[in-house]
Amino acid sequence: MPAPSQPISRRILNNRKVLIILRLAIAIVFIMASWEKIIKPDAFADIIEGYQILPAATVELVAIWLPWTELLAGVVLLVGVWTRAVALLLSLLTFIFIAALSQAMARGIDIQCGCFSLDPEAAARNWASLWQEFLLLASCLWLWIGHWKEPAPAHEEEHPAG
Amino acid sequence: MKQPAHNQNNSHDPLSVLSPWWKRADIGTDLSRIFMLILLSLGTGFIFNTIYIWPKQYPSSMNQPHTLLTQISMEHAYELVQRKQAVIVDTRDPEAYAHSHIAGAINLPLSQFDNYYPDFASQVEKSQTIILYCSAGCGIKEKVATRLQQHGYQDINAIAAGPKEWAAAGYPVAKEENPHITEGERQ
Repeated sequence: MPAPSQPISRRILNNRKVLIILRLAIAIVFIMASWEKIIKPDAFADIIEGYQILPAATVELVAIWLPWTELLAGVVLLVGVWTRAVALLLSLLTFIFIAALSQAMARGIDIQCGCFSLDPEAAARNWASLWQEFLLLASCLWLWIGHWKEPAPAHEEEHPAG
Repeated sequence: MKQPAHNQNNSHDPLSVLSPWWKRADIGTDLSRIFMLILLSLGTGFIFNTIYIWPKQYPSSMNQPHTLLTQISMEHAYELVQRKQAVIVDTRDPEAYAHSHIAGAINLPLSQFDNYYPDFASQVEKSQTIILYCSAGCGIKEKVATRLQQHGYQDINAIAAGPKEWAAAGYPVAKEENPHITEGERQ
């Protein structure tokens, strides 16, 4: 009886159907999250400023850049090119969002996330609500790791081509 | 049968000889792609804002430098407002104003300057002292100051604080619906 070619964890991580669903879901999440920020950069700048971590001079720059990165990354994921690179980028961005939210909450700042809505009446974030960001981070990391190159067979490792 | 020493650990599974994870993740290639995406989004953002956002904010002063505002402290601003020697003006969006604003502030949002200006002009004389604010660190109030100067207002000051900092210093803030939002705008 032949041994399975990959360990079970790798087969789950590399499951093609799961990766396609993750790719499309993450793409839609980031495209939807970007739109309001793109058309209201001033309101988004206000929210970024509320995090109290960036120098004032960089707030507007980030308010202009970040939503477009989210939109372009979402579109690239939808198309299905550069998936591994975009998954890494979105993992890093989501990690930064979590860190920024956490530091604001740890300092007792009554923060609006600005993640999916710029509505100032939106409920302020709390620790319990961070599960959304962690779920997104886990999905992005899964998409990234699932697109790593296949391990090289032993003989190629020992005698690499070229 | 004894395996060769260099192949002992992996002889049962030829695929288990893993390349280092950073090689399989191809970090170098991906970082260059990420860098390209960041540059592309930054460029697209600037082009989009130049064409669609900034002209709406200050259409007749696109190429003019921001007005140099006289910065005053919160304490001084509070004294002037209390003595009715100055009018305090919130330059943020109506939604943000309705959520929380400095007590007594008039809303004159940069994004809807032309709609709000007639009402503002009917309440504030051109000789009056004006104190602008948005949020701490934001650049909206400088653009509003430029527009006000074009309309003839001269004594324009600013505080580098928003309602949060104002409230934290113990001064009053208000949370109410913006009286300047018309029924049409609400719908």
